[in-house]
Amino acid sequence: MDTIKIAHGSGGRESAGLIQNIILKYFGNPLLNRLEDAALLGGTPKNIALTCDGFVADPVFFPGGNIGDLAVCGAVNDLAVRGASPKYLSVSFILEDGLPVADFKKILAAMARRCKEAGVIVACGDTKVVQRGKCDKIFIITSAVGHMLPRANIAPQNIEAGDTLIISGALGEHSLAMLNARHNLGLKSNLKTDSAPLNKITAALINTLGPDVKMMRDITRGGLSSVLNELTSRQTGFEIEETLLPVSSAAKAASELLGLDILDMANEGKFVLAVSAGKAKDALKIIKAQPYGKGAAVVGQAVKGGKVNLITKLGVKRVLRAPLGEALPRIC
Amino acid sequence: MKRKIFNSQRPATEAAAQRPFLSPSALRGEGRANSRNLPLNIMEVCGTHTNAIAKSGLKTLLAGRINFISGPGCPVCVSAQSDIDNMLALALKPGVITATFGDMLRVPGAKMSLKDAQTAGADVRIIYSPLQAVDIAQKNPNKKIIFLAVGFETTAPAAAAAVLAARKLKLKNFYVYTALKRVAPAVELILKEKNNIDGFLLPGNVSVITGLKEFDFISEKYAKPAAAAGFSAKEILAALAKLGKPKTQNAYAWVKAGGNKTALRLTAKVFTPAAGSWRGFGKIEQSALELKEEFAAFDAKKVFKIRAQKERKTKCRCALILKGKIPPQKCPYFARVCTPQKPLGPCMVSQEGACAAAYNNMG
Repeated sequence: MDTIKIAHGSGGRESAGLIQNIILKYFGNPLLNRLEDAALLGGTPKNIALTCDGFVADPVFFPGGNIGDLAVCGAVNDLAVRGASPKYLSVSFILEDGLPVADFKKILAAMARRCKEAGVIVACGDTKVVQRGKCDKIFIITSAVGHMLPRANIAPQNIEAGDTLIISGALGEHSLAMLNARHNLGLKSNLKTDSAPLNKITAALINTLGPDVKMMRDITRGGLSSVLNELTSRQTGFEIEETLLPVSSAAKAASELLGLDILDMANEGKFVLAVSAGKAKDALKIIKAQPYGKGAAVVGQAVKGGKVNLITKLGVKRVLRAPLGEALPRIC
Repeated sequence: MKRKIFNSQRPATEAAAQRPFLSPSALRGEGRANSRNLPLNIMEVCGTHTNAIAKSGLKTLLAGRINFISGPGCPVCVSAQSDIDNMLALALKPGVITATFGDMLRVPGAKMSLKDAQTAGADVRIIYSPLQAVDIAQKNPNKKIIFLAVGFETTAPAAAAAVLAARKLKLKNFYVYTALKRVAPAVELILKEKNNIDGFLLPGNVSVITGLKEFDFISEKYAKPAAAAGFSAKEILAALAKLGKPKTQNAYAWVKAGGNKTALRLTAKVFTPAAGSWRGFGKIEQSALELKEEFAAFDAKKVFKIRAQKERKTKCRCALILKGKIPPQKCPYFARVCTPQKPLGPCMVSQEGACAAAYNNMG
């Protein structure tokens, strides 16, 4: 079997073969192996967190990972930043007729590796195959479910003026790596996706600092400028300092070349945290102790008034707006 | 927040000591600036400068001392409405693939933008280098690929290289719609008219290609200072500090006397200067780069028989804004009717346009 064919989605023997011989090889566990219509998760139905995410990636394989990394980490991180501990995933594949099985296996392997890393298992799943041109190689829809951590109290309205803003690492890496790969920009740099599960870091933060962790949000599409603008309220806004922002030299060079603002670029393994000022040092230490938080930095604070301000390198304060539409590189 | 703003940024300190009005201490606001009439009106002729000046905070920092005016320096913004309409008409033709730089996508034409055309089913592809358009042409022999060449002297050499590559490959399905422009003739037009400009920040990247001689007329003929500037706040300050005397000077390390000979040769091989329409300016002699006769087979204007048309009037006040006669905020439509979501003209679309820069950095 070299390529995915329409028959693999027919529900017949080919489908069973795909599931038994390939998918279960990567995701197999007692819950999933039963191949029932629903997975029985057990536990008490209280304080359960559920999230759902769809993944399309162009290209499907890119420096540092593939769509599989995104599909697991994306769902895991949505629960993680909400203060939950992800346990189970559901995974639904939409495959294009003709997808090389070798490619599918690479994607499954990435997903399995990320599941292991995040401590989650795939509890249920589904596979459909569509005709050529009806989807771009592979679409993945994942849900994640887990329990809220007992000490979690995460909500935008918890943010108060004076709270410290921390970012868990360098900005913009995922977007720029994708743009480089998608458009063959030929930027010879070590730009790669930063896709990573964040649940270990967020759990450590909540377990240690409890309600002093006011709000967390993963920095994905729209970048830090979008996230911060979404989190403002009438009373509370943010002030960040350009000189404090963690940015790699490769990302800086790429964004300058393309005329794109690093603050509008997406990550897939970074989050922003608002924490009580008195606990900022502790929080930073906790994040930095984790492999995916080594580049963490304090970047600013929550302030009164519902705006996001950026203090530039020259010390000038200006309003930071959320970007508009797709990021389009300039002409010259 | 107090910061020592200029401590790490004085590459031009000694030189600046001789300048009559723009010493770093004057820029810092220390003591009295020994100028006759502040603020000085300094026109930047480059969209990247417009964006950098707004984003770095230089505009705010130097307010009252320097009044930055955005000139015709954003290639999208200076594209004539007729060119934009023509490009859209071509993009909507059956069997055509349009290859364009990203910032043309949302520019509004008569009925729609390229982005809308894309939604309506037109095959519009974003490219970063003109050679990618040649690649698309090779891979799609049954389609007609039209590359929208928009830009200044910086883009022209790459567009020329694409045409030469297409000829070498004997491609019969690759065409260029050129709206390429030269910066100097537009600057001269502004200087010929009544103006209140005290000096020019020249685009460093264009100067790298053309050499500075191209801009000598600013000081020689019109006795105004001009300096080629790089794109960081530091480089822009270094160029500002050179604006003391009515000379055309260089403050961008990459500019060489005589420019980039290879790039100039490439451009001259394929393109020839001709009269061209600029948004807000009308026709300017010698300001456009058209394909030479020997490349007529690649010229979308000729192959698709595009006829010269009168400039269609739009509400956009770009004529005044691009010449620096009014700031974007003085346009009656600014931020009311015309926003980046619903732009009346390209200056509100491109990140590098004067109006978009003003809009995005409003308090």
